[in-house]
Amino acid sequence: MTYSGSQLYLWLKVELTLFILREHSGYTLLFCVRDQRRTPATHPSSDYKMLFFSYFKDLVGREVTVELKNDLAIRGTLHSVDQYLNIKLENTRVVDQDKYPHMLSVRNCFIRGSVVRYVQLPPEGVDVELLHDATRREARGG
Amino acid sequence: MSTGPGLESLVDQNISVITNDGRNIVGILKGFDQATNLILDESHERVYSTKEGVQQLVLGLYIIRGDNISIVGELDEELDASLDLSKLRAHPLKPVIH
Repeated sequence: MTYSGSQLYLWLKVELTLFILREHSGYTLLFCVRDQRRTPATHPSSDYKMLFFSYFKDLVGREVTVELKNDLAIRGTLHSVDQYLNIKLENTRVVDQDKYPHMLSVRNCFIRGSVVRYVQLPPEGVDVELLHDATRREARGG
Repeated sequence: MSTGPGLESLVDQNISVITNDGRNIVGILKGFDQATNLILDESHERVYSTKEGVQQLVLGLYIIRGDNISIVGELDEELDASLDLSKLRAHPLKPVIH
């Protein structure tokens, strides 16, 4: 396959952006889709996070458990989320408080997106079909 | 973005920060930026151990680089006052492994 000059430039630019993003966040999962395709991108790389960003925005007000990369699991009501997938929780409690009493006097907290390992969602908050369709659409490039 | 989880609401409040290397630093939030770099005033570190109660080390004015931050918690003064830190024993938090 041959690329025209502008396509190649765009492709390099997107790959570079993805590399920078990957270095600065933990969301490898979100980039898997692009990694498998070596075709020139037709939309900005920020769209990759947009899907999950809007998805989390819809979950605001729901009870979630956020498991961090230091094995700490925090349960609370999702207050807000931003473009980096930083998460703000309210009425938080640590799942194993006897083992982790480090946050006993914290009720509201901000969790940096880069340290999140999993977000456990309420079953009724997951529309698998919708997510499947949306990720496939993104993978095709719109 | 005004709807995002900014730290504006925590400025001039007591916060409890957990860093990627597992430290717990408590202080007054004076400033922050997009990368979650923080400026903490009158800060101290709470050192957890299983052998003795929580030790508090005075640090003073501190800047913590955003890269190194896991959690920024709003310290509830009432809850914090009700804690008997000298009796609290726990393993130090594990470092974050990316």
